[in-house]
Amino acid sequence: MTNTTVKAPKGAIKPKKNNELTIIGRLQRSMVAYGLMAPFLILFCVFTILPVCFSIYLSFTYFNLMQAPSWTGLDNYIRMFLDDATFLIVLKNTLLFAIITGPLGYLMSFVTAWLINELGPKLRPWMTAVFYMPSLCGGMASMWTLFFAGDTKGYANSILLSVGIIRNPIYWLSDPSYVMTCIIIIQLWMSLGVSFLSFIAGFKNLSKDYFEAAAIDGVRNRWQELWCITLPQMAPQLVFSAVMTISSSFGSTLASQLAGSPTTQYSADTLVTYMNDVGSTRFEVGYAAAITVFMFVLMLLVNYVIRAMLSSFSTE
Amino acid sequence: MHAKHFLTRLAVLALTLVMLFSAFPLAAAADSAETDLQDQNVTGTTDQTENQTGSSADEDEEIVTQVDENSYSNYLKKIAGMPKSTKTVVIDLLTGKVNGSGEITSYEGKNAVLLKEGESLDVTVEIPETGIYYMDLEYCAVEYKGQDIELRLRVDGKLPFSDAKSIAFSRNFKDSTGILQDANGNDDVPDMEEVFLWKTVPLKDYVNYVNEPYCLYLEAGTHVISLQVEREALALTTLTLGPEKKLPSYAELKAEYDAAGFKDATTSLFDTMDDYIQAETPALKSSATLIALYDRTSPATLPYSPSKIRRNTIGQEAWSNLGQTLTYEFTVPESGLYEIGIKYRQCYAVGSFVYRDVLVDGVIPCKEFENVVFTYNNAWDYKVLSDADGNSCKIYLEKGKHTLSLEVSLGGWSAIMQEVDVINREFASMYRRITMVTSATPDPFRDYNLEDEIPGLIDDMNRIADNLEKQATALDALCNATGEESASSEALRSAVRDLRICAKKPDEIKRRLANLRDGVTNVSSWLNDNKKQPLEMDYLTVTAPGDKHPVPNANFWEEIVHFFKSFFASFTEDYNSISDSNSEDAVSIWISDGREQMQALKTLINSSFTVESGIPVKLTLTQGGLYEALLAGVGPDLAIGQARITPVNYASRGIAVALDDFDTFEQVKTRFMDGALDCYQMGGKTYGLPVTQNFFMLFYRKDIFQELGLSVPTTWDEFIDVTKTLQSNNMTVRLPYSSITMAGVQDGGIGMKDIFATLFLQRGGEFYSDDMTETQLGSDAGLEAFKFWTSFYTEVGVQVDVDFQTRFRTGEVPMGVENVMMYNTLSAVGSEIRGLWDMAPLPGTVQEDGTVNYTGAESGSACLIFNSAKNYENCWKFLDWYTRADTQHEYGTQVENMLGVAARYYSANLEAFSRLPWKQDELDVMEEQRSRCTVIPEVPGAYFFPRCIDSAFRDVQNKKKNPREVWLREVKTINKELDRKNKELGTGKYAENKEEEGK
Repeated sequence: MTNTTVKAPKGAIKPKKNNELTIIGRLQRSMVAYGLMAPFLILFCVFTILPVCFSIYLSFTYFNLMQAPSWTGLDNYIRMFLDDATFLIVLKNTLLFAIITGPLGYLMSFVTAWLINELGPKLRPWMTAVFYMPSLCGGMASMWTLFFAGDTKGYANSILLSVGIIRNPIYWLSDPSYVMTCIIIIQLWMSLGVSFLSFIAGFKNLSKDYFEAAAIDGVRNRWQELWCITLPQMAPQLVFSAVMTISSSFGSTLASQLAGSPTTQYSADTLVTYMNDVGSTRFEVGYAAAITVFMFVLMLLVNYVIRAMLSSFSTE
Repeated sequence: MHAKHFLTRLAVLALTLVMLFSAFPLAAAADSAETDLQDQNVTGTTDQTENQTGSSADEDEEIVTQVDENSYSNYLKKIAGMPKSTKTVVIDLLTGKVNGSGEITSYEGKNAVLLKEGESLDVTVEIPETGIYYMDLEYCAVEYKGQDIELRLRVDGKLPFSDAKSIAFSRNFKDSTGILQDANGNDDVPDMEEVFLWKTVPLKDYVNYVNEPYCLYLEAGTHVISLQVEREALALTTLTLGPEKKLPSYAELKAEYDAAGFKDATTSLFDTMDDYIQAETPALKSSATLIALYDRTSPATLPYSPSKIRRNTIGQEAWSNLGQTLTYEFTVPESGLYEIGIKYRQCYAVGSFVYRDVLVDGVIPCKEFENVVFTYNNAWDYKVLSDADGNSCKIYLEKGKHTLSLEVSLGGWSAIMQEVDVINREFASMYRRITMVTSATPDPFRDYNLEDEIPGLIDDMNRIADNLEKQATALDALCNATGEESASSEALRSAVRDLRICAKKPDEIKRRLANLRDGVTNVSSWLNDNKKQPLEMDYLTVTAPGDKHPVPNANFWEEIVHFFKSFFASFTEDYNSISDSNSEDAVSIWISDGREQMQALKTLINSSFTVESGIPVKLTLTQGGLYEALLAGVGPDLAIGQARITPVNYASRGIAVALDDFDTFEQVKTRFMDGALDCYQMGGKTYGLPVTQNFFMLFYRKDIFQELGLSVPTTWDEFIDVTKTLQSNNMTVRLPYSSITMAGVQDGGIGMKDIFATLFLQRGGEFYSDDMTETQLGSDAGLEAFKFWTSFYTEVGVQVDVDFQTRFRTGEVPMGVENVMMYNTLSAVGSEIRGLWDMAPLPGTVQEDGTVNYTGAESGSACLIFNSAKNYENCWKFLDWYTRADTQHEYGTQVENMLGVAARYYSANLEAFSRLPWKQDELDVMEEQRSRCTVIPEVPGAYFFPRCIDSAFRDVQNKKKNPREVWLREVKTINKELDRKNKELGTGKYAENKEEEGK
């Protein structure tokens, strides 16, 4: 029973193979459909597929943005893995950042959405707006530079100073021991984004029948209800949100917005900010492209793993 | 792990601090606080002023204290009960004795004394009766540097009140052209020129808060009055001393008119709305900052266009300083009584109100025209000048030409501000006395015994609170009178509240110290903000009574139509580029700066460059995106105002043009300081020219230095000594540090990032090896400089992040090394410390042989030509013209005219720099510092210096690591990166390999 809701969209994405017709024949038959898809497909190819392919090509070249790229083979990749200490720091940061903010942010979104869903119909839209606000206002992150300002007047410092926990201000965003923690906290605050919204939508679409049936069948508590009834129904949202959260934490440029590019001793630089640094400060776009490609592969892998993990819900 | 370490460190730190505090500084602090008090008492007595009489002329500035006992408001109080004079004395200044080379010549049609900066004139006057006199001076500006004119007035060899040391006089400007249009049909600012006119003006305060003309109490008998020119040059004829001029009220004026039988006029000056006196084209203006502006928010603003830029208003924030005047000319068709109306918008002083004096033919006709109030409103408004009951004031005008002037006045603010200013200076000085005992961050658990340490503290607090409250109440009354409810006395009241709490519970002072400081800064910014009297005008009307008055705002449908028109026009109009020609061969220039700067440059190009060379120019305003545009083939021919590192970066990738081969290059080179081009050179070729240049200066508070008996340090050792003295008085110093996280730090070179580069250069260090492929920061000089530099933070106890501007003003940081541009900021906002601070050249390092090395580092911005340019020769001609002293000076002046002193332009052209409106002593110290600067070269990969130095610095500062170890580690990293860059670009030792590969 539960499978139907999940399989329907899958079916839409992958049309059943029809072996009787040639490719051209099939194209002709679905002409109208392709025509309708064309605007999106063209834009998608020009602005997504093409750049990805181009950056894969660039990753094998030396390119400084001003002169034509020249082929250098695997040089960029060799340098990346064998001759760049910074890359390793940055990779470590990225994984740490993604592992903490990804799942935590995901969980936070889910729990908040669940709690808000329990609220009355009048309060619910308000609370949704309140919680979604941080990710709506893109520049909001810069508010945190005030909070974590390094002088005695920054909020964090001034609170700690007045309570008497510290005697000297802490340079939150330039002392390598604190930067990463600060950035993670801010990212978590900001993580109630698209995934949160899709959870809210998911909760709204839940069919009441299952809950009634479960109540009759004797569900013991809310946890059991959540685990056995709510979650399986929400599988599409779960997958979508997981992918979104993990990609956003991989792609976060928060560090460079708040703590500069590069951060002190690269303490909070991630692959993306390092790529920006290499590409725009040092004009080594070939190498930057290699980093991008690496990140692309990394994200594909992670997404695959997530899907595999979450698929258990829908098959149960 | 971290937390544990952290706590132990904290505990140790706290212990040491407690020990330190209990050990020594208390006694010292108490002593100095007492002497401080005594000093102030002494300056307060009249004996002191008497003593000053005998002292020589130059000494009247010597005593610098925050609480000014000789201020004009105190002077007024002193002479309050004195009799008023009834006689008028006209003094012929031509009979005076001139000190200096001043001469008596015929100037602009009159015989006059011409005085230049520094020169003075003494006249002996016979005063017929004892009393209070008002002064009127007839003067005419003389072409000199182009700043405001300032005079110093002395009576019998001494200043009657301290404000008399600089009395300002305005200049006169007019538009020499009408409003111009560029090729896109957008309006440009008209060209402006100075006019030299004879004017008789009362001696008045244009800097502080006094609205009325200065008065002078003179006893009958012989006096010597001397006038010394502080700034600029002027011609003088007569000085008139006379009784106060009383204005009639409108009722009195009306009675006069009725007696004379004047009748209402029957025809207005205007047939249509287009005939109104357009405010944006005044006949005369007292300040060059008053330029025509544009308003595109309302279709009722004249002239109007939904899509193009129309210069249709004037004023706004530029027209907010006391004394700034706009004068209009109009012709009256028939003699009679007329009403005067103004269309204005006052949305700039939010929730507040501003004042203007309205002068008809140079005089205020009646009291109702003095201090006309304009209240806050977001929309345009129209006002007919009228009396308190709302009946319009009808003014008699003869047939013929007349002038109408509007002058900024402080109105009801004046009295309140004068008082608040005095109180706040006392408040600030009290705050400083407290911090000298407690430091800026007191220990909340210690008993400071402040009542005993600072005698009279509680009384002072109560007195200051009482006085502030009184002024706050007066302000509220004023607000009610003007009908504006929200004008805020809250800044004053919140200071009062904090003071009251502290006075009641002196134990609370240490916890509320930050509130007290905020109180001081809030009150002083309250003064700064409210002193500004901004107003915008669209047009003025002179109408016959009974004629219809215009409606200032458009109706709903007109607004809708306007909105749609301008919305759709925004798709096709390009407001970011101005160009006279859309032809292909125009030199296209990108400038990354403000719109005003672009406008100023555009005006100059039109009036000079294009006329001279016939080359059309297209200017575009951009931020970033340069290499992307060049890559896409839509980049400019040349760019101005680029980061220091840009020319070398672009040259090493082969897209910048070498400038050495242009014919006038050698001549252009001499315009800048020696070696100024070093940072734009690569492989012996020059790829850029400097545009601006800045360097560090030492800023210090004269009053505090004088109080503590300190002299300005000339070496770093002395600097540390001064720092220690200041620290023992619970003050600190500032050393610049730009964290790499700040925008632009990586591209600006390392010279101005912090003082490391300066210290390194002073130890004779060279940044690069001879072939420029390696850094020599790892040398002994480098290591030593790094150790010395970090010791400021680890041993001397200097903080990294300090809000220098605020704390310099409050006196917590009385000395600091800062970018010379801090001068702009302090001049523009630091009203409460005016005259209390100064600049000095940077300290030097004592060498082994005993000599002192004063070398300093510098930074700046550049301009360069790209090899995609259409015509190199034309581009070079532009750069040649652009870097000329005349161009740079004109440009700097224009920008400063539009934006005020905060936008002062630090031209790299030496002559242009020295021609900026500096005071001579300011210029001397700056030129001295500048002549000591060495230019640090840039190489590809130089962006690694800031981040590696920062990394090493943070390790030492945060983790207390061994400086030697981290320094050598980072030097190695830099060298590795430089090597990689050389390999990548085929420069340095890889140059040959590349050639071989090429073969």
